[in-house]
Amino acid sequence: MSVQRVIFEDLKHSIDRIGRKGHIILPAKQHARISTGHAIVDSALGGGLMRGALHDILPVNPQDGAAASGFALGLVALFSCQKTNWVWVRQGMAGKETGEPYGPGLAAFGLDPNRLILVMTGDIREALRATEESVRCSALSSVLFEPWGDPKALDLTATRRLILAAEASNVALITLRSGGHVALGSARTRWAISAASSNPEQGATGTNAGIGNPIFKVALTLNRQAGAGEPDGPWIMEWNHAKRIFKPAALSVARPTEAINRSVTSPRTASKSLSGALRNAG
Amino acid sequence: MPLVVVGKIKGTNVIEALDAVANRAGLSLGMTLATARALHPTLLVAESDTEADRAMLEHIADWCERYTPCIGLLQNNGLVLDITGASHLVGGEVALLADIKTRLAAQGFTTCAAIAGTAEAARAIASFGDSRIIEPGMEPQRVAQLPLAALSISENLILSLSRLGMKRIEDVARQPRAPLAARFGRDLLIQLDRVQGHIIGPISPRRPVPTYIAERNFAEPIGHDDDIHRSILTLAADLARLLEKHGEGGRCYELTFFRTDGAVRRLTVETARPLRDPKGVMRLFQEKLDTLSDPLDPGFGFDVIRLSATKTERQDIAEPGFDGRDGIEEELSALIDRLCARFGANRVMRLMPRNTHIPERAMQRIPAQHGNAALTIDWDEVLAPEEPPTRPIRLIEPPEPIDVIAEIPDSAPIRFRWRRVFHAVVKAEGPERIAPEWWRGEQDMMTRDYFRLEDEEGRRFWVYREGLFGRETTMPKWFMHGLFG
Repeated sequence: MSVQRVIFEDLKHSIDRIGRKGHIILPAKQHARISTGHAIVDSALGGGLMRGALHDILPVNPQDGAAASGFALGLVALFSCQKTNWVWVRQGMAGKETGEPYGPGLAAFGLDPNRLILVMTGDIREALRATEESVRCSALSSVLFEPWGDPKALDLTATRRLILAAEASNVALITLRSGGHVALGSARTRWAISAASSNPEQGATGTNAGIGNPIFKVALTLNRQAGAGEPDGPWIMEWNHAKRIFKPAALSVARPTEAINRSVTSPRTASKSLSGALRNAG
Repeated sequence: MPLVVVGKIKGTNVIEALDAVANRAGLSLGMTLATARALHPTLLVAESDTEADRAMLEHIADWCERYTPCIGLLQNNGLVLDITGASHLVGGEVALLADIKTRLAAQGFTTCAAIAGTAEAARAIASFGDSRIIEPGMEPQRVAQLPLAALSISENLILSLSRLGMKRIEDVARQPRAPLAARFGRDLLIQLDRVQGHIIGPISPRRPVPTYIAERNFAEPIGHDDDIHRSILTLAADLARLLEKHGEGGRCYELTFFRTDGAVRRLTVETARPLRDPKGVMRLFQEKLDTLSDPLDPGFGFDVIRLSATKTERQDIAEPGFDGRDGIEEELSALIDRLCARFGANRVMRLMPRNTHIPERAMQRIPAQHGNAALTIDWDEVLAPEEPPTRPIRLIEPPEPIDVIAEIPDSAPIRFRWRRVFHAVVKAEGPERIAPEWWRGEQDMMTRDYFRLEDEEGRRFWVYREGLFGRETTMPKWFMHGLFG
């Protein structure tokens, strides 16, 4: 009798999975981890980043806010391989300090700006509500939540609610805390980001070294994805926007004497402006 | 004490309205104030205020919307309601008329009301006759005895007709039509036909009348949240059936609550794609109700709730695919609708590119509900795969001025100060020259030379110098425009 019951329950579960909105959700995909592209980081994470969890990103210094944004966008790009739409919830003040999201810049980073839904709210409660509402929608790949500072409303209860919603819908929740210091409890991973000097070899054409790809100095300050004893960085991760993945890089030493005086416009940019002008005039 | 309302006509104060006491005392409309005061030294006089009258009329019209959404205003003191097909909801025309009169009397108004086949006939009877219902086809008899002022024609025309001995509508109706038209114009004939119920003239409603309406009248007024939600769901289901029959879905829904004491409350939601599903509509209104800054107050209860689809679009029956792709689009739309209902449509945005070089204009934020077509627009691919990004991920709006040390005329900065912090530049790339768009005719914008800078900590900035040294300005200014990752 009990064997029949077990078989019956299994069958019910399988049919449930198929029947839910007509999707066939294969169990393997639900728990797939997203590789970052950096082998050591991946092994520290136990294979990669998990969906349906909270990843908390903090800048080491207040001036590293832009670097933290870049890293957060990198994570968004990693998560959006299968389902591409994502939501960015911002609290109003965050824009004045670190600037507004810029479409062409997002495109240059490897993200598709058409897939972004930007929600701009006034206070933290509205932002939390919007985030929760978005996280519940399983059609999204990730939700980037950018509060400002360390608001009291962003407490353990609020984060638990968000995490439960994320686990139910398998949407990745990334928090970018531009002006904040206090870590969010119950995050799955926490990252401390600071700026890193870029590698000259990937610079623009020219004989002199230039600014390379986006590059970050990353430390994993909390890791609940793997057991204790895993390394926690700091690592240097470089972002490859064409392949939309990170890769390991060496820390390049900044040499002040190599300040460049490039007053000659590189030929490629000149032709781009010219062709742009022709396109607009035509 | 008699009370009159006076207004200025051609410089003299003239009585525009009077109460029953004044009427009995021998005062009449159109009498000058001086004469009136002579007859009655102790007269209470109020200034006429057409604005307030109009506002009150709108208020009454709002209240009358419980009977029908098609209401027109007549001058400053009348309403015309199109009750085609609506009278059975309140128990028939007799009941409707009695209802209006009692309710308005309870609010302190004396009403003259009439029901007829055309608006003009009803108005004529109401203004100059008794309140009654005219059976279909009986209009000519009923209006026959009314004076000519019951027709909406000019005073001069009434004067001319009375000089010819015509004082009542039946006098004019008896005349042969062609000479009347020749002498006094076609308009007279049109008004005559309308008042006699031969042709139906249009009513211009004060608010656009929706095509799809579902409503419920409650014998016992409801006030509890649960009851309200349940009735919204049933109304949405009724409307969905109607919309489905016509193959349409709603883009904009309006929910109107009518309280027993006359107050009217309206809520509107908009959607990104045509929506029929009752639960979806219910959820949107739920979000709206939750975030009302001025909560829905039932008072003694709502006795009518109406749901109308004010804007509709073609919507075919959705066939669910097996791979669930349509499901994703629909879920996304539903999320956008819910967020817009909660926070306002201008807080939920999508990004759209614009065809311009000027960086702050190259991107536009548009409300997500209106931007379905934007999803397919290509953003300029600015890079080859091995090249690093040339545009920052965050743009500082508006650009912030910075202090820079750089060689003139057009070298990259060596050091700069932004927000009181010094940065020593280690690497620089540029300049990328962006000139003002001469075809837009902007005279005061200067050429910008953009530089990508990296400081000793590894932070990357996007700065520009405004103005070409020597050619456009002698003191070029520098600005911080964006931050790279």
